[in-house]
Amino acid sequence: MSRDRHAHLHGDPHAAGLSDALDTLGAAERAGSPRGLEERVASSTLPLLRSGTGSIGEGASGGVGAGASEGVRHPGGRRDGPRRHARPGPRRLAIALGLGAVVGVAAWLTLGLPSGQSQPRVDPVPIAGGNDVVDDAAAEFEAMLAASSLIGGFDDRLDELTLATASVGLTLTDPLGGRLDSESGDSNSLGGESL
Amino acid sequence: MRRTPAPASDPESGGAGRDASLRDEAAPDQGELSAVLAEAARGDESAWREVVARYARRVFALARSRVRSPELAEEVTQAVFAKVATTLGSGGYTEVGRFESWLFRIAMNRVRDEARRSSRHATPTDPVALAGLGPAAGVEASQNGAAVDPRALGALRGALGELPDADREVIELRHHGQMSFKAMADLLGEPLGTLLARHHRALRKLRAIIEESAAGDAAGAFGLSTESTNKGARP
Repeated sequence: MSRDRHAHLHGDPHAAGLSDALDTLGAAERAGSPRGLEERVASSTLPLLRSGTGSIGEGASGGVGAGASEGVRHPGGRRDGPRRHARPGPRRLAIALGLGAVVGVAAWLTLGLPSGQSQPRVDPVPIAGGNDVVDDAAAEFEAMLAASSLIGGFDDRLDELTLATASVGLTLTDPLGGRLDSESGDSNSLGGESL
Repeated sequence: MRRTPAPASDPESGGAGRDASLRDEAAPDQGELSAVLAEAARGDESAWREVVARYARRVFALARSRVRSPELAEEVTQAVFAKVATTLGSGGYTEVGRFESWLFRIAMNRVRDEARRSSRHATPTDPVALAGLGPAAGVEASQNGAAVDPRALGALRGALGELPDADREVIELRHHGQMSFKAMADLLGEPLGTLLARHHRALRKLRAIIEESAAGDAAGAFGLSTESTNKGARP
């Protein structure tokens, strides 16, 4: 066996031996092809060659069909004949349906929303336990105040916060570091000196 | 016009370089093939017969390795050439030196379809039984003329059936279809170097399968020494 044939096996003698064995097996399979195979194949396919169309090769087992479109790309990138001439009907139909859907949605958004009639309405779900449904923001706020007033100490806490806010305001309103004497009532005095 | 069918391209006629010889395997008679294809496309019967004579057995062997039924393998072969004839006759193919890749791509698609269908049926895996299957059982001479044990052929068939599909395709295209590595690279869309590495890897996997199986006893007929076949096979 030629060494060139096994050049890519990097001197692996086992792989080379196996490769030779496979060559023998392949030769046996080729030599074992049925008598008259070439004659039958050439005769049955010659009409196809001359007509360029047709479908043969469906044998008794029905396993093989020659007329089916071949999913084989031409080495040069071209498609096979039957695919080249395939009708584009389904594709055009799909594009038309897509465009129709887009136009329909656009019309619905343009015409349906301003009238307010096409918007679906959802009924409020009543709260279990029989309470009234609060559907107004103001009423909801009042309800929250009422609830919070029930908590002890809320009013006292509110007063404390008010006083603290006032003292902070007194502290920060003196821009030059001097302490504002709230009792003098003169907001223009600087450093304790009267302007 | 009557021609004498040319023999299948001999992949062993190569140059001196290591991978260059593999790259140029299919170079011989490419020009002649182009002329024959052009005549066949014009409806010339003898040219078409020559095309069929060149490739029919190779396609048959490829199919036969998968479907394990000579009748079905012949149907696959018929279907492949029907497709080629239809495309050639309608002017849908222009020869640019890649006819073999195109033909075997069609063949591989058909073979895959048939293998998928026939995979539902049980296949004997016993090497002895496999050795008795098929017409190849009667051919017992290796390429260098030495006698080959038919059991070894059967064992090899059985081991081939256990390879992953991707590895098996590389082996079958190369050894059953007699494709050059360059044409295989075109067919599979891979660089030549990648394909050569895949072939080597597939051979190693096949050897491992043979070593693991009881059929390893027959591997000596292929030059695989007993030491190598038993090494690491079993504790």
